[in-house]
Amino acid sequence: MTTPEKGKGLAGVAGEPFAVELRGVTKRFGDVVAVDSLDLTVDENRFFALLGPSGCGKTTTLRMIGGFDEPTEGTIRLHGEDVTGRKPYARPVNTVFQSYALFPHLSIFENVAFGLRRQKVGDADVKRRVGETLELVQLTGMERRRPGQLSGGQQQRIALARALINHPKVLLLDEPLGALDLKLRKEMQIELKRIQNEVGITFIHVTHDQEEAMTMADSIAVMNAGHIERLGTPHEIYEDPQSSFVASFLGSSNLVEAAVVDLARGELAIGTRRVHVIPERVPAGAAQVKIGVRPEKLGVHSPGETTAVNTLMGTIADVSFIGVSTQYLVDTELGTSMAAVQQNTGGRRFSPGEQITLAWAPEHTFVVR
Amino acid sequence: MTTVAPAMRRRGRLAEGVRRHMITFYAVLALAYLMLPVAIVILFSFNDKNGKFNFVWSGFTLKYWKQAFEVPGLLEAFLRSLRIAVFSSFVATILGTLIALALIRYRYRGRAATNIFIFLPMATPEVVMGSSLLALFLTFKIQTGLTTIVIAHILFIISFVVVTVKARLAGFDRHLEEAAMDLYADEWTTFRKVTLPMIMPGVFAAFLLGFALSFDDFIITNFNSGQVVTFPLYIWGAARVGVPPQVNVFATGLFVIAVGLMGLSIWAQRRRS
Repeated sequence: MTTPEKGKGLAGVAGEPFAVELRGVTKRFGDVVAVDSLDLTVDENRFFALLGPSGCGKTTTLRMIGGFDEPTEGTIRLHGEDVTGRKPYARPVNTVFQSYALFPHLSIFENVAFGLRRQKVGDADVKRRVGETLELVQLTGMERRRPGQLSGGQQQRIALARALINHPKVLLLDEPLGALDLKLRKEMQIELKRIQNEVGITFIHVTHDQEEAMTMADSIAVMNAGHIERLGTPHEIYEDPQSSFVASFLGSSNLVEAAVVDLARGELAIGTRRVHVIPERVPAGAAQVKIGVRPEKLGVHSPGETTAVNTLMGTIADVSFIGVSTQYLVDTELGTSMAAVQQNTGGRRFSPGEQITLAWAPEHTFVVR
Repeated sequence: MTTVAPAMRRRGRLAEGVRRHMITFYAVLALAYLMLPVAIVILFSFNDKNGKFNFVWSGFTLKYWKQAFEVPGLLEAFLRSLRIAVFSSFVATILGTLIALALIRYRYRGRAATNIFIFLPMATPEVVMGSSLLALFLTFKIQTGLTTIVIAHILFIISFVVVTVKARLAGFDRHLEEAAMDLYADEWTTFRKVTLPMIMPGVFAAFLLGFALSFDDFIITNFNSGQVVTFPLYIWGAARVGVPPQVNVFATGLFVIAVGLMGLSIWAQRRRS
C-alpha cells in the first residue's frame, strides 16, 4: 500500500486516503478552458459517474487521471500518492476506451495478457490470470480469436478484461457503452455493476447518459462547462438538483419563478399563491428563485379533493395514455403549462378541458436559483 | 417494314450484349496492354535466336536458361543492383517511416516545408535530379560510384516511403497507443509492440516499392554511377550490340519473384484480417 504521508494527500473515510483526489485541476487547450479549477475526491470501492453533456470536460478529467492529458494547473493524487506529471504507464490505473482500442494484430489472449506481459509476469501466471479474467467477463474459450471476429458487446468485455486483469487501484471507463445498441447497453450496465461489486475496485465512469449513470453509480458528479454542478448519490441529485441545469439534465421537471417570503419557514410565493418547501433547500440570501417539481410528483385531483400543502389550479390541455402511466399537460392559473404523470393504478382519469387541482408535497419541491 | 424489323431487333440485341460485357471487354484489353510486354520478355527468354538480335522468334530453346550465368558481367551487374536496391530501400524505409510518423503525429515549425521537400523529388524530372546530384557531388569532390548511387537512390525512395506510410498512419486509431501506454508499455515498447506491427503492411509495401524503383532506375543512376555498372546500365550498354537472351531470363526470374512476394503480402494481409 502507498504511504499517505509521502504524497501528503487528504484522508477520506476512516483515515484512508481517497482513491482519487483532484485539487484545483485546470486544463486549457489554447484559449479554451476544458476543466476549470476542479476539486474532486472519490472514496475507495466506489462506482463513481462523471455525467454531463458533450464538451463539459468529463472526458478531459478522466484523461488527466489516466495520464493521457496533463493538467495545466493543479494536482492529481491516487491513493494519496501524487501522480501529476507521470506517464500513463507509471500510474496504477487502467482504462476502458470508448472505441475499445483492442489491438487488432493480437489474439484475445495476448490482448488481455498485454499488461501482465509488460510487467514481466511469468507464463504460468499469465495463463491462469487470463483464464480467470475471461471467466469474470464470461468469455471463456475466445482466447485464440482476433478482436475483429468478436461482436461489439464481446469486444467491450475484452476491453474490460484487459484493464481489470492488472488489478488497478482505479478503473477508468470512457463512455464504454456508447457504441452498443440499447438492449446490449442495458445488459452491460447490470454486468458492469456486478463486476464492480465482485472485484471491489473504484470505477470512474464517464457518460452523457443520465439513466446509465443513475442505474450504475453510487455517486454522480454532474459536470457542466468545466466544473462540477452537483455531486451526490443518484437519489440526492434527482430529488434536490440545486441548479436548473442539473434539474433539466436529469429527467424532466416543471420550473416556476417564485419569490422568497419567509426563509425560516420555507414559504415562497408563486403569483398570489403561497407554497412551502423544505427551508434548508432555499439558498441563503436569495429573493427570487425557481421552484421545481418532477412530473411524477404532481398529483392531479378534482378541484377541492386534496388536502396537500401546495396546490395550483389548472385546466387539462392534453392527455396522453402510455400504458403504465398517463401524461397530462396542464394550463395552470399562472399562465404557464406544467406536465404531470400519473401511474395507472385505478385513479380517476381526466379529459382535456376539465378543471383540476395540481397538488404536491414540500419534500417533493426543489429550489434552484 | 417486315424485313427491317428483325434486323433491327437483332442489332439491338447485339448492342445490348456489347453493353453488358463492355466492362469485361475493357478490362481484358487493359490487362493485355499491361501484360503483353511482360509476356514477350518471358517468351523471348526461350527464343533460339538467329544472329545478334533477340527480336524475331526462331524456335524454342532452354539454352539461355541453362547458361544464365555465363554472360560476362551480367550476373555481377544483376547482383550489384539487387544489393543497392535492398540497402537503399532498407535505409530509406527506416528514415521515411520516421518522417511519416513525425509529419502525422506532431505539429512543429517547418512541418509544411517538410511536406513540400518530401514531395519535390517525386515532382522533379529524373534528368534534372540526376544532373543536379552529379553537379553536387562534383562540387564537393565526391568520387562517383557505389556510394553516390546509394545516396541518390535513398534520396528519391524516401519520398515514396513517406507517402505510403503516411497513408497507412492516417487511419490509425491513436487510442491504440494510449491503450498500450495505459497497460504499462513505455514509448519504445508501445512503438515496437503496437505501432510498428499495425503499420507494417504499409512499411513493407513502401520497402517493395522502393526496391522496385531502385532496381530499375536508369537515369539518375547513369549520372552518378562513375565506373559502376548496374543491371539497367548493363542492359543499356548491351542493347547497342545485341541484348543477350539471358537478360530476359533474369527479367523473367525477377518478375516471378516479384509476383510471388506480392502474393505473399496479400496472403499475409488476408490472414491478418
